[in-house]
Amino acid sequence: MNRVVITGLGAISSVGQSTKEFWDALVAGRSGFAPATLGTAAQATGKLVGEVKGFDPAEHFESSQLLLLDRVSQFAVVAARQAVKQSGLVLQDELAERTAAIVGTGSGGHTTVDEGFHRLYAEGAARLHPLTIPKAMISAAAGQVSLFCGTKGPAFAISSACASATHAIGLAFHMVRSGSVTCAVTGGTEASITFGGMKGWEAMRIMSSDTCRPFSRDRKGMIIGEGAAMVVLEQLEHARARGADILAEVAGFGMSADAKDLTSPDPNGMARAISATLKDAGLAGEQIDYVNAHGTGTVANDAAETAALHKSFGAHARKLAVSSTKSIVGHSLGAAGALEFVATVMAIRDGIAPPTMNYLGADPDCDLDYVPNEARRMPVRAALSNSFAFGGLNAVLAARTFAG
Amino acid sequence: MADAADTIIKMITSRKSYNGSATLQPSEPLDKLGLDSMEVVSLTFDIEEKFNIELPFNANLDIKSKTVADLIDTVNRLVAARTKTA
Repeated sequence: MNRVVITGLGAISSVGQSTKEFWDALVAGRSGFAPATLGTAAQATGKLVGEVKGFDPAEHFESSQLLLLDRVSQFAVVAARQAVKQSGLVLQDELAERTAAIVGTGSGGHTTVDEGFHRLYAEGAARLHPLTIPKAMISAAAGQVSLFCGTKGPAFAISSACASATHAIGLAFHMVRSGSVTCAVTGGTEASITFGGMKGWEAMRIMSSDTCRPFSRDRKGMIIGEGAAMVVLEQLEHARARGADILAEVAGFGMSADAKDLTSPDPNGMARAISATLKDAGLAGEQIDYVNAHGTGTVANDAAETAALHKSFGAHARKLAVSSTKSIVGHSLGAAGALEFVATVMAIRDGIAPPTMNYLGADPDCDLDYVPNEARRMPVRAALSNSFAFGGLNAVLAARTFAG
Repeated sequence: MADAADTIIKMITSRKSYNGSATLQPSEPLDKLGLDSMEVVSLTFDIEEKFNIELPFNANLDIKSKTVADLIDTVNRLVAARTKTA
């Protein structure tokens, strides 16, 4: 089996359009929440969202290319280009054929669907734009990442709602580890702050009326976000041979399904995914210093995730630093796991646990160390990134410092 | 507004996982009726559709400490407000 390292990161989020801006905002605890401005989404709830602000597609794409790119694919390609650029990989010839593009998304081209169907149903339009289907399909972003980055190996989308990106990165990791590919450009993307999307979330009654305060007392639910993050995974020997800057090592990946309830989380299912990841990584629980939690800010998730951490780590749970990136960028659904994996890699690299913001005080059901309101400098030798999706679909990644 | 009370009680007791008494009393707390969170959200949707109102309900907060009577009062108040402004 090959060791797998991370050699490139890319991130587009409500706090900036680069990994540096994303990470600086996380460390500073600077939130990206503001009222929605995208189309009619603002009318939907009047609630705060983590919208990618000031994103000008024309800065990144020709107008002829934009005809084929929903916002969700634009984010994916921009993040993927950043990651590939940082990695220094030249994706040509045989290497291109040995590089995968695996992209998670929950909703695909949601804007294209929402706007197109509105014209059709509400405005009585006679026809849809001919590129509606290729822009809206759930695999569009994977195809576009492959096209724009020139990867010619396996390319496909993975969809598991809020765990999509984590499943994508995890599967890519296993493919690189097994040797079926040499490199992978992988992550997640989401852009579903549309009128229809926001009304759908509003109807679930789990959107916060103030802000996102994961694991805190008086938490009121989630804030919807959007964006994309991509990573370049690479076989260690390949990265070494070309003298690449190795950011961290992917240690393990685990999955599970609750098989219990479509929307209510089950600590047992979560704990099985965490334990599977530790086993896959060959790590003891005591070796984990930091957990980037799923931490949505709903009453149900945060209590269940806390119970799952107790179950998986035993007494060591109380020594973990646990924090939620969603307290700063919101829940970017199919992109969340990738943004959070980037945050996890940066935590390892810089030796900083980013904070859980908006924390008001302890909740009886959430009794761990959530790094409240202020980043903490600490050695992060190995860390987990948790994603737990509707459907009871759980995925967890482990990363660690690259020690040579 | 006895009608609203009867309708709402029927909407609750006919839910699949309802496990309260056959004659549901308005004084009973909403979180002790066996309804899971998604059924409460679906019930909220059904009530909004039935009475043409918007219930200010957050599943993270509003089920604890509320009774069936509280729900009926809220619906009656919102229906009255709607008919007044109409």
